[in-house]
Amino acid sequence: MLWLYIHFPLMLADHYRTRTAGAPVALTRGTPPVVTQACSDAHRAGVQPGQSLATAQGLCPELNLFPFRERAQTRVLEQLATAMYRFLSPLTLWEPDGLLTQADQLGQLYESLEALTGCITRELRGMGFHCRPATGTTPRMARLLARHSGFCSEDGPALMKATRALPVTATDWPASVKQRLNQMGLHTLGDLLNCCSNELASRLGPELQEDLQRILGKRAEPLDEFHPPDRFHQYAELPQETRSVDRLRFPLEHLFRALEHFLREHQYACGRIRVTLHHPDRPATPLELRTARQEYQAEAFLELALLHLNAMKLEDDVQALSIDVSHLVSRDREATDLFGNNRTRNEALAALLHRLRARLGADSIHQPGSRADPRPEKALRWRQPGASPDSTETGPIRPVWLQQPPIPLREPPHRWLNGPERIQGGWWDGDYVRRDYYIAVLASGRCAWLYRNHQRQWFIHGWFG
Amino acid sequence: MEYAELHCISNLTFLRGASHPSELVEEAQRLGYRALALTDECSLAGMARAHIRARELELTLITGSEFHLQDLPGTLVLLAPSRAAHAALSHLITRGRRRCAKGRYQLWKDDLALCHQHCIALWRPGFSNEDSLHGEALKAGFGTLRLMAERPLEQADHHRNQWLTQLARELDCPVVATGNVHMHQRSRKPLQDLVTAIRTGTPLTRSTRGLQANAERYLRPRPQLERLFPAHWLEETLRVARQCHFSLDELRYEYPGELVPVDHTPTTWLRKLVEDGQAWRFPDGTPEAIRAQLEHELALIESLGYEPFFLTINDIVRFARQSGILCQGRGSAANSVVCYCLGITEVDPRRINLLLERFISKERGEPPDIDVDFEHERREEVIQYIYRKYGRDRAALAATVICYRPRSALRDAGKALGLDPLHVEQLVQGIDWRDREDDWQQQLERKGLLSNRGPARHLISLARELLGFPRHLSQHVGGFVIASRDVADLVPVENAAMADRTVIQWDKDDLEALGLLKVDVLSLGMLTATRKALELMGERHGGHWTLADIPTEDPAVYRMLQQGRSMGVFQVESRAQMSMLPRLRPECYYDLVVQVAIVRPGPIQGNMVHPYLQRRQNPDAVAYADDRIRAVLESTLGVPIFQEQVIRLAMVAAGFSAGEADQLRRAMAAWKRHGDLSGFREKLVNGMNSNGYSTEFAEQLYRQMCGFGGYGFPESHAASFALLVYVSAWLKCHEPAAFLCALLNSQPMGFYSASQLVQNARREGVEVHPVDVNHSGVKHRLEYDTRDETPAVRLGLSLVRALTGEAAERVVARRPSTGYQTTEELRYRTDLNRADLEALAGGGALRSLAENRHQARWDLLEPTMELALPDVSPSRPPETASVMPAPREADTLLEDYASLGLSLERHPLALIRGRGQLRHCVTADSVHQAEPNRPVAVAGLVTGRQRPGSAAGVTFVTLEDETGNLNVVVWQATARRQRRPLLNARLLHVKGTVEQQDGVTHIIAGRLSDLSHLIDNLNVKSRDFH
Repeated sequence: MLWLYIHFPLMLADHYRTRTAGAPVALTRGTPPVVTQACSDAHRAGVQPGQSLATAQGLCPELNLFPFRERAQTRVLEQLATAMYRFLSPLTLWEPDGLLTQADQLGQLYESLEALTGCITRELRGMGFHCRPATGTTPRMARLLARHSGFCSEDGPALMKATRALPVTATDWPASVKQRLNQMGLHTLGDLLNCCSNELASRLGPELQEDLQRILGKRAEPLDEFHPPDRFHQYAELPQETRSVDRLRFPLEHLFRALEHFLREHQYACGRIRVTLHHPDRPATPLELRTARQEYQAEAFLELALLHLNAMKLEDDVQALSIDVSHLVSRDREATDLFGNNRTRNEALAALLHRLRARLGADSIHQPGSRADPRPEKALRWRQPGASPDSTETGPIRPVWLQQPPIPLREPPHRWLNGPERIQGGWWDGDYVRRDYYIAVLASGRCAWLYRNHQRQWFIHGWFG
Repeated sequence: MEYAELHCISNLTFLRGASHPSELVEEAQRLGYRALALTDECSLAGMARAHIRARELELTLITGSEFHLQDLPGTLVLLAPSRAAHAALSHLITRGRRRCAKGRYQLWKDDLALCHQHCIALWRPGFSNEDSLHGEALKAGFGTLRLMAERPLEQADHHRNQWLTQLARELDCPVVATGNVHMHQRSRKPLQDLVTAIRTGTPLTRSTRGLQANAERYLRPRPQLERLFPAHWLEETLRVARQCHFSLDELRYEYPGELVPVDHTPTTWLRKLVEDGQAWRFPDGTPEAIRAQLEHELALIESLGYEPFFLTINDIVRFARQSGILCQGRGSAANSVVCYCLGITEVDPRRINLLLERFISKERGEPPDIDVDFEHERREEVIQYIYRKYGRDRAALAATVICYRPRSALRDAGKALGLDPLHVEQLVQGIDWRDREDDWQQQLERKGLLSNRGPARHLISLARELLGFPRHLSQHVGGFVIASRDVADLVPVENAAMADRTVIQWDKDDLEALGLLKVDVLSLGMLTATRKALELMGERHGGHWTLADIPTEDPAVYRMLQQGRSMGVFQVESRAQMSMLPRLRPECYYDLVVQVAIVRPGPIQGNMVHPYLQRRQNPDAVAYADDRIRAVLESTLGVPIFQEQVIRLAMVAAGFSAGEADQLRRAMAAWKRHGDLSGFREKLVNGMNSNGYSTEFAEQLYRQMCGFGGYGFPESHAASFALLVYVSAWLKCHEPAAFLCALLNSQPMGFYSASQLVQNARREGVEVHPVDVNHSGVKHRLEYDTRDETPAVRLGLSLVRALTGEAAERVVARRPSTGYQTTEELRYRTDLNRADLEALAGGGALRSLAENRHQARWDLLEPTMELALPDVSPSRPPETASVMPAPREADTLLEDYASLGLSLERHPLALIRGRGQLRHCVTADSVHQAEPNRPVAVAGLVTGRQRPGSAAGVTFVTLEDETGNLNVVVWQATARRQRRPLLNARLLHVKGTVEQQDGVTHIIAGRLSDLSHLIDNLNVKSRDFH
């Protein structure tokens, strides 16, 4: 069997490179930060892993720096796998920066190994990624060769020769083991394979022995096959063209039942559904549904869809319906009661939010909160509905209705109740204020929140109930 | 209406207060306040600073402190009206602080009993129903209580003040107006917000909790106070202030009494000890001149009452001497005849004429300064002795106030403004903070990374303001305060970060300003090495050797130094010092005193080095303006080199009064923190002009003053250091093996690595033997060849990095007299674990047991068999079939560096040269013989890259090859074009021209290339930009 491994030597740097319009990129890690990966241009300028930021920027002044994150690395590898899935299957993700596939199965589709690797390399280069492919008679051999210098051949003995010539430093073994081997004059895998394997195991531990056996194919390599994340798509032709929402209800419900079944099956949930209304001779009408929280139950989707449909005016006959869900998230197990019912007060609230959003639009619903800013106009913050409330420290008295923008005060107040309260701050974001606030009753009998600014002008900034 | 502010915190309430104590004092004085109470939170750390400024401005300063108690709502302020109250307050603070980790405190109402009798209590209640209960309790304790009213212009002002009025009526106690001041002027508000954000850890852009809503907590002008407070509340402040008549000037330091026997006074006892010392120091009778000086010194000490200070130091030095710990005093009073007779210094007054009076000045009222250096490995013994002898109540370390410096200020300000930490890191990296010409702000702006929009545009101005703000208290390196009774009577004591260490809340400047003496117990690596070398000499020649036994003024020693052969020698081994030696050509002890002081920022920035060198060529041509100048400058050929000379010139030539000269000295010492000597510039230049000196000379002197700031190097210190320079040079010259051995056994110390020291000593003819389990001791030691008397150095097992100390000792202790015969024998006799055995193999210490390191390690890794009672024959061959490849020379070298940090094999450069990879490159030793201005090519390991602040834009690279070191000078333009090899190379190839000046050879770099690939894996680290 022949395996093909694709190593991404600059994976994360290449990824960020796509964001910086081609300016050189380096990744940093640790405190004080040092360079851990540099893109090819930065590398050409002399930037190398281990350098301090000062050195790196000294060598390459236009360098863009990003902090290294393992999560980002995993995500990029998954994206690459998803993209390559069209070409390479079966595919295995090998953290942190490689993909493994079987070359002999693919070989039948391509003229030669070169054609295959050439095609992969071109595809990846088009995406902005450097890669280094290598083959091996075992997965681990392919990986070692790819990570070291890359070597593609279908010739077993040639691959074995290349493997034996690999330095022990090319392996994933702990640094202490590699150091120990070097200190005994065992510099290459060939040197190691020349030693009596039992003696080696007794001195350096069974793990090393097992790894060598995996490289040689004397021990199986457990592999997890990669599958791109699932999508849901279903299309339903209507028995009869219609403009009536009522008539759409049943087919929609049918589709959403299928979706619910799929989601239950895979322990998924989703928050965004694309419903498409297909017309006989006009472009289709897309409809984007967003739920307040991740959902999986058909009723919730249906109710939302009907609200949307009722709000819009169907001007063309609908011939068919389809729904697409491309973003799926795994569902936390939720407690259900004996009857499969798990509606709690929160759910009722969530349901209300769905409906309000459908009626008023997603951007129209906010939850008020406060922030510790001395300036009244900045002390209010609008948040996503459903967030936990802010702490309610007892501060000074504030009007519930803030007059924004403030209106000039045109009459002398009837009676002063409190003041002055001086508020001064906000220099940091450019909206500096300095005001003296008063609470006063106006001639109209309304209780107002007044302030005098630095230019001694008076304004009304709020009303007390 | 008059007013006294009674509640005010400074920036020594870390990250709450936003003004320096001196700023608060100045502002209070400017506003015409009757008095100011500084009430930092559970701290008197700012008192001394405030006191100094208040004394100058004649403002009444009240000692006080603010507390937030565990079981009392609100804020309590205690003021100290008397000396007894100061002590009580200081004890209360000490109690609260000693209970908690560094930087925190905890106090309960019960603790206040300490202060009930003495302090004035002001309380701002928590505005709850419990207020009257707590108020009653406080009033019962303190007798009287005052309620603090504030007007921060908050919404609740009126409500709260009504509440206070009501509560006051209930408790029958007065209300007093206070400001709860956090800053001296409103304009500090941005900084106040910034430190709040730093303290709470939430950036301003993400709405920091605890921000003050306005800028009202400042020292308000009196008319405004009149509008805000009822008159009787303001009057109450004056009533309180009138009760406070304590000043820090009343603090008197009482030295421990136990050092003086009952039938003596300190004066007679000191005289007795000095008389005894004379008999020891001058066995042939004291010369008349010395005798006269001694009498003069004793009279001076008596008139100033400094005997206990000398006696305390004498006691510590005596302990060290008895324990065999080498020590040496330095500083203004250390080089007196009195100190020579007491054995505090070895600087013989017959060899150098340093008048004590030059250092202890009666009219200037400075305290005497004696620092005592002890062996760095044994200083802790001395510290423990002090704690043992005087107890922890009576001895404590002085504090060092750690302040914001540009880098930390930018980092913290950046974080508080919500900038991305990586962005801030990008900004601060690569800035040359020392460069005064091109200050960091300009460098930062040149980077062009800083946005001028949003919060970022405030970064530089706020960081600048934050600069010099205290951040926390740390312990001084060794300044002890030893008191006759409790130290906490004087100043609060708190916990240091280090376990079992306590520090007082004042630093050395505070102590000095208050006239309190401290004893500096410092550590010096060279003393350790010297003691070890002297012991080795005793081993070789017999007898007990001391510093005094080293022959003085040996011409061979000076000849060696004149050639610049000073690696390992104290003080003059740095690259700059080394290159100065052949130019200065020291011939006597005083030349060494000059040499130590001349390669320092002061003389260099004052452009004094070149004139001095010129005058040394032709001493007769030196002319002096008048005799007074001659008296100051004659010893240094008319060129001011020492800090004392600069100060005396200011007095003699510019007409500074004694008091002004003292201010100048303080300002120079504090220059690093405040960076402002400009106030003295005009006075210096005008004064000197009017006395007939050129403006140019005056300007030069001013630049020199700036250079001395922070790095001040006085003659009194140089004199003591020069003695150690001479002693260590003598050892290097006459006992090179013992010297090398002692240096290696005292690492880490000095400027060079063990590898560089060994290479240098071998080039100078010292034989060095490798680490070997059958020959090495735990430490490095001398081996004597029976044929001749020259000893060789045998490297010790302690050099093997991964080997534990315990294992090394076991290898030596269990070694049979015939040595270990096989690795098997070593294993069963020592029963070492695998890691230790591998470390031995790695260090090549098994060279007499195994064929090579590879095989030794393979053998050792064999799992332990059911071994073997000790009587089983150890000569059984190891049961191994596999034969490891023999190491190549490069492998050995690599492993030597990895496990020992040095190698006795061929130098890597010799190896590479042997492979023919460095054709056309000349070696370091032949460069020294090359003709000037000739083009050459050299290559070497980069062992140092330095960019000194004093040489703008130049990078100095030190290269090492098998024959020695090379100095490469890279000009800025060259560096810019070739940054990559300059910054990255570990093996650097340089084409350039040879430049020689006064026997010093440099290579001016032209083309640089990186040859690091030739030594890949060779573990040689460059010491970058130290």
